[in-house]
Amino acid sequence: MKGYTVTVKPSGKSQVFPEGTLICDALLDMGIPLKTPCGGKGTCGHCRVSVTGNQPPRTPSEERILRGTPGVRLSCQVPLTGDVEIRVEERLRKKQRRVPHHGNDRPYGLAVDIGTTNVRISMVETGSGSSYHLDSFLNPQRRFGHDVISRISAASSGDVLKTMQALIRTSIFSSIADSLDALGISPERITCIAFSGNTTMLYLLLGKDVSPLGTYPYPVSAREFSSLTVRDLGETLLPETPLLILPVLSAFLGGDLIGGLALCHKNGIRKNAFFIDLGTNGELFLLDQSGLVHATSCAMGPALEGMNLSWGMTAEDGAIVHVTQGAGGLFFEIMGEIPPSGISGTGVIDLISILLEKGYIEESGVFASPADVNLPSPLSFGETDGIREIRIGNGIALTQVDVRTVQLAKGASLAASELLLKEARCSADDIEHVFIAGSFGENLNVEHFRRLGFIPEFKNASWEFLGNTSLLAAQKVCCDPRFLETATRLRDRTRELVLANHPEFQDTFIRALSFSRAPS
Amino acid sequence: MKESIQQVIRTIDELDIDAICSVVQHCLDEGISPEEIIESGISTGLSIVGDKFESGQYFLADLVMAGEVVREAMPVLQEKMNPDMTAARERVILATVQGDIHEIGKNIVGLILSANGFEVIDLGVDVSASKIIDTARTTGARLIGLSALLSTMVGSIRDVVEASAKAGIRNQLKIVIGGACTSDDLRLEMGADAYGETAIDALRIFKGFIAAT
Repeated sequence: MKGYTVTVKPSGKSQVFPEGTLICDALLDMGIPLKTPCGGKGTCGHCRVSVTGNQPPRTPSEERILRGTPGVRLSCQVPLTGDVEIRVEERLRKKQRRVPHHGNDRPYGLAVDIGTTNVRISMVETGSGSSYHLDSFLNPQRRFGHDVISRISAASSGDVLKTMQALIRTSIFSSIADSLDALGISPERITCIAFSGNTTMLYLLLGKDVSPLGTYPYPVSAREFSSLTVRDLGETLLPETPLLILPVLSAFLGGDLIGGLALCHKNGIRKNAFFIDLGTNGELFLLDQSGLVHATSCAMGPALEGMNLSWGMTAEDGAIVHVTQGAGGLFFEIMGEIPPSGISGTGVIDLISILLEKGYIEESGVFASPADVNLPSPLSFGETDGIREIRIGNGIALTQVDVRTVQLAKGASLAASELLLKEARCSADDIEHVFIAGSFGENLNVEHFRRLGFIPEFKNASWEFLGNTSLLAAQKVCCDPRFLETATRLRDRTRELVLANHPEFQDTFIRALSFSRAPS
Repeated sequence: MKESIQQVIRTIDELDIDAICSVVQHCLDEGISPEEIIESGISTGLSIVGDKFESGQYFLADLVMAGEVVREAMPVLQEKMNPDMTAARERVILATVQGDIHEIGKNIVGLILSANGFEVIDLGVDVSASKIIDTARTTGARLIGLSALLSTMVGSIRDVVEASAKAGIRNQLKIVIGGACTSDDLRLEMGADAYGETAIDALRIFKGFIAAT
C-alpha cells in the first residue's frame, strides 16, 4: 500500500502513514492531543486543522461547519491522498489547565481511567488526596471498533493488536508528558501511576492476549497485575515508576467495577445497595441483605457517552450538556457558551426525559404525531432520509433511531438489573442505596435518569450520582496502599451472574425496552 | 389491489392481533386463495413493518408482535390450503454459531418464518458446524440460517460452509447469515449464499430460494 508523509508545522515533525489514513488518526499517532468529541462524524468542528498539499475535496459536513475558511479542514473527514503539511491551531496544542498549588515538593500520583470510549487522567496529591483533572480524550483505539467485542475481534490480527497497544500507551504517556510540562511539574515527583478500566482495556494496555475474552465462556488469563513499572509498558517517561492496577473479576467485570465496589465499601456501604456504572459496557453490583456481593454486566453501547447518536458528542465545548424546561420553552446549557454543535449523554437523558414527560415521545419510544402535539420552543418535527427527527436548532436533531439506540442501552441495563435482583433473591423495595456512576464529564440529572428507566424504581432507596468511580478508585489507589488489597478481597467475594445465556434474558430485555413506568 | 387484501396489509402494519383472523377470513369468503393472501397481503404487510423497523418507528417488541399477528392467522389459512402445499412445508435450520450465545435475533427470525409456513428447526445457541450439517442430512433441510452477534465469532460461519463442502452437500444447501456483526461483505468472505439485515429480509431471502428451485 502507498504511504504518504504527514508533516506537522511549526515543529517540523513528520511521519509516513498508509494511503487513506484519516488525518486525525495520523495526528493522534504522532502524539498531537487533538480532540474529536463527536467521534469523527464531522459534526462538532473541534478537530479543525490547516492542511496544505494533495487532499480530497471538502465533504458536505465540512462545507456546513467551515464555510468560508479556505485551507482549513476537519481532520476526521480527510483521508490521506498525498503528502501534506498540517498546521495545528495553538489552542489545541496548549490547553489551559487549572494549576494546583505546587510550590512545594509534595509527591503526586497519576490516576488513569481507560474507558472503551473515553480516557481520563488526573493527578493526586498522595498526602492530602486532593485531585486535579489533567486531561480527557476519546480512546484512540476507537478506529478499531466502538465496543470491547469489536476491539477483541480486531486484535485477532497481530498487527492490529500491537497498534492498539501502542495507541493507548502513546496517547496516555504523551498526554502525561504534555500535562506535566504545562504545569511545570518535574516527572520525578510522580511516585505511582494507577490504572482502572474494564478487563479488555487493561489487557490491551499491558499487552496481554485479548482473544479468549471474546469467546464463550470468556476465560481470563490474569485477574491481578502486580510488580509492574512503566518500563514494562515500553515507555521511557518515568521508567521506574510503579504501576498500580485495579484487579479484575472476569472478562466483563473489570477493575472499574471492582474499584466502585471498594469505594462503596470504604464509605461504609455494606448491604442493601445497588450500584451501576454506565459505560459502553454497563457493569452493576448488588449488596444483598446479608452483605453478599452479586455482579453482572451488559452491553449498553456508547450512546450515553455521546457516541452512536446522530448529533452526539462528549462533554466538550459546544456540547448541549443539560436541558431544562422553563415557562418559555426549553433551555439548553451549552458547554463553553458557544453555539451548540452536538449533544452529550447527559443532555440526551435530559431531553428524552422531558419529551417523554410531556408526551412528545410515547412510552413505546415512538415520536408523537405532529398533528397531535405542539412541541415547545425551539423544537420542531422534521424528517431526513425517511427518518423522523425532533430538531433542536443549529442543525442539531434527535432522531427516532437515536431514541431507539438509547432504548437498547436502557433495555440492557434494566434487564440486567432485574435479573440480578432475581438471582440474588432480593426485592427492589429492600434496596436502601442506589449509586449511579459513569464518566459523563458532567453531572447527571438523577430525576431525568430515573424517568428513562435504566434501572428499576427502587422506591425506598436514596439515589446518588457518584461520577466517574473508575477514576475515583484509581485516585484512591494512589493515596491508600491498602485500597488495592480491599479491592482484591471484595473481588474474591463477588458472585458473577452471566446473563447472555440466561433463559429469561430475551423476554426481560424486550419488555425492558419500553419507557413505561414499572407497575408499583 | 382488492380492498380486502389491503385490509390484511393494514392489519399487519397496525399489529392488530384481534382483527387479523376476521380480516383474513373475509378475504377467503371473497374467494381469494390462501396463497394470494400470503403473497399480496401478509408479505406486503410484513415488509412495511420491516421498513418501519429500519426507520426506528417500530422496535423489537413490534417485530415480535408482527410475528404473533401472522401466526394467529395461519390456522385460518391452512384450513383452506391445498393439502399438497401444507405437506411440503419447507424446513429451515436456525442456529447461533459456535462460540456465541446470543439468540434474540435468531428467535425473531424463527417466529417470522414459522408464521409464514416454514418448519423451523431451531438448534439453539453455541451450535457446532458438525451438528448443523448432521441435522441438514438427517432432516433433509436445504435452508440454513446462521446468526452471529459477536464479531469474534464470524469464523464459525466459515466452519459451517466448509463442513457442508466436506460432507459433499454444499451445493444442495442455501446458507443465509444475519446478526449484528454480519454484512454482505462478510457473506462473500465466508462463502455463504445470502445476508439478511432484518427478520423480514430473512423471510424474503428464504422465500426467494424456494421460488428459484
